[in-house]
Amino acid sequence: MNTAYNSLLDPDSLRQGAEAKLYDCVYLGKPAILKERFSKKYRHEELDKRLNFARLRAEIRGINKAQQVGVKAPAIYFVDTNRHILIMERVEGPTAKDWIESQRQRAEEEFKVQAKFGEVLGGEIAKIHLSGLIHGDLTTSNMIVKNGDPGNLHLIDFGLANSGKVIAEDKGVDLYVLERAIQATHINCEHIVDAILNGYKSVNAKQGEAVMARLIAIRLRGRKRDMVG
Amino acid sequence: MVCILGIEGSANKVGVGIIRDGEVLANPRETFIAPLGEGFRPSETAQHHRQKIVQLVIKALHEAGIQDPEKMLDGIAHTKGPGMNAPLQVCAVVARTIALSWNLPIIPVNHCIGHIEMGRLITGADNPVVLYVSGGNTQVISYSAQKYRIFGETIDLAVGNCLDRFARTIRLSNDPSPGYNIEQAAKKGKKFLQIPYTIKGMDVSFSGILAFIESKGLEALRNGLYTKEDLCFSLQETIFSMLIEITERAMAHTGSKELLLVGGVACNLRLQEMARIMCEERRAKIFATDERFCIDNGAMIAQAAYLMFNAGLQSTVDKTTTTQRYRTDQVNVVWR
Ligand SMILES: Nc1ncnc2c1ncn2[C@@H]1O[C@H](COP(=O)(O)OP(=O)(O)OP(=O)(O)O)[C@@H](O)[C@H]1O
Ligand SMILES: [Mg+2]
Repeated sequence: MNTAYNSLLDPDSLRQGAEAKLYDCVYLGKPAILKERFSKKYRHEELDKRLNFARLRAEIRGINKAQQVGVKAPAIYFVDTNRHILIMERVEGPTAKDWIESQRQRAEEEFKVQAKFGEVLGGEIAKIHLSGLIHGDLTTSNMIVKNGDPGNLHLIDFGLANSGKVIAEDKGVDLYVLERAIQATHINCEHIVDAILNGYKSVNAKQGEAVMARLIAIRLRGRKRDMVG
Repeated sequence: MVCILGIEGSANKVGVGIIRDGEVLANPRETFIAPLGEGFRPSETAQHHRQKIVQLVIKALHEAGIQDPEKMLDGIAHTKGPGMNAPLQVCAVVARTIALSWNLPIIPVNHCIGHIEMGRLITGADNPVVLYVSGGNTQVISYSAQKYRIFGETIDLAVGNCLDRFARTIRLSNDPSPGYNIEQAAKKGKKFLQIPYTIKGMDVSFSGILAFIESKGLEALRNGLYTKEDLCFSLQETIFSMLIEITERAMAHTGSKELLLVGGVACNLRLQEMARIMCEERRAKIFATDERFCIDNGAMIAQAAYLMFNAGLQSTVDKTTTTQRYRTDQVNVVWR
């Protein structure tokens, strides 16, 4: 990590995400997370620079836009574009991935609470989609269940977000990616996917219908694709 | 001791492999090479396989020292799918015939599972995230609870298909394979052309890239701004970065510390190098095989069948159908 930031950081808190290193820190007295997108040695330098910059920018824009439409995302405290560093609010609580798995022990109640989680999540996604924002990386690692309360769900990691010319197909792909990530990660959780889609449709019926139609077409494409070789 | 003969022919390669308790006794293979500027078509590919398959079976038995197949073999395996129908059927017919005449059980195998199990056998990887990249498949796979689960995949074209079609548009030879020729040309490329880079969560998309290359790429070539070599280089750097990135995402998401590369595209040394660097950066172990085993071959089908056989799975001749589409996550992995 860059020396300029060393005094801020708790060195034992390093987590290596997919493309960033994350540290716990305190920013102006508040618990914070420092996220540094480090350069990837495996990829061409030019490509690497372009991607790191684009993603930092996408993340800031995505978080801002989500917050504008009332979707919870960590507050941004500080940005260093030269070093691809972002300092943001630390959201206390498990990732949705860990939270879902921790629910497994409580047989009866689990179903209801997970359905609640799904509906909240579906609603949050519908809201950002309605504003023309695509998250781009909806996996259960990229959401935090604040204090373990599914009603207090925060979306994070907007590095692949995009907004602007957004069509139903893009929204459908956003949901498709999430659906597949849940199927792969969490066994026997079809009810969560159902709840997500219900929550999604409940926010805006017109968007809901258009995107569900796309989602069905995208799924079909996946299943019908030729797989030669 | 269990000894299985496996037949693979789902695409333009046809191979017969014999495996005995984890040891590859024979693994001969023939490749149908399409004419310049063309892809391999099902009927011609099937014809090629029909012409080669009997001599491959004889060769494999000979190399493995199997004089009495009825006594020395325990089962016959063939690829059930996914793949091209006509070539798949050629192999299935031969498998049924020899299974009946030698009075042996028959074991239909999922092609993708064959790649994974062969990779695990050869490299000794225990529970890796698998990057499976070939002409028809692009998947990031991780095992849990009796299934090879697909965490990431292409939402349109397969990576090998994208590379092959690109090779055709710039008229690179199909001999020995378009991918190999792109790899060689890329080594001489210098100038990096910006190509769309499309990742969605743990999924990738290549259709935009192909469209871009076929318009802007060819234009740059005609204008003399970029050479064929530059295009190969830029395409490889971009596409492989996307693959390594979704692989890393899946590794971060599942917390895995092992990576296994399989499939025809996985013998590309630049892809292997990028995977190695990524793994070093996250202190993970990388496992890869060479062209004998990452390109379609008969031994991989025999190896998956060997595991299935030991788990009590086998079929009867009347039930050994083939199927063009057969997802990796449809298979019940009872042997793990
Ligand atoms: N604001 C936050 N508060 C608390 N924990 C966080 C916060 N941001 C990230 N984390 C934790 O760090 C992990 C990785 O963060 P993040 O998803 O932003 O990085 P990444 O996956 O490396 O990024 P990218 O997907 O862009 O490559 C998250 O799964 C989560 O556990
Ligand atoms: Mg993340």
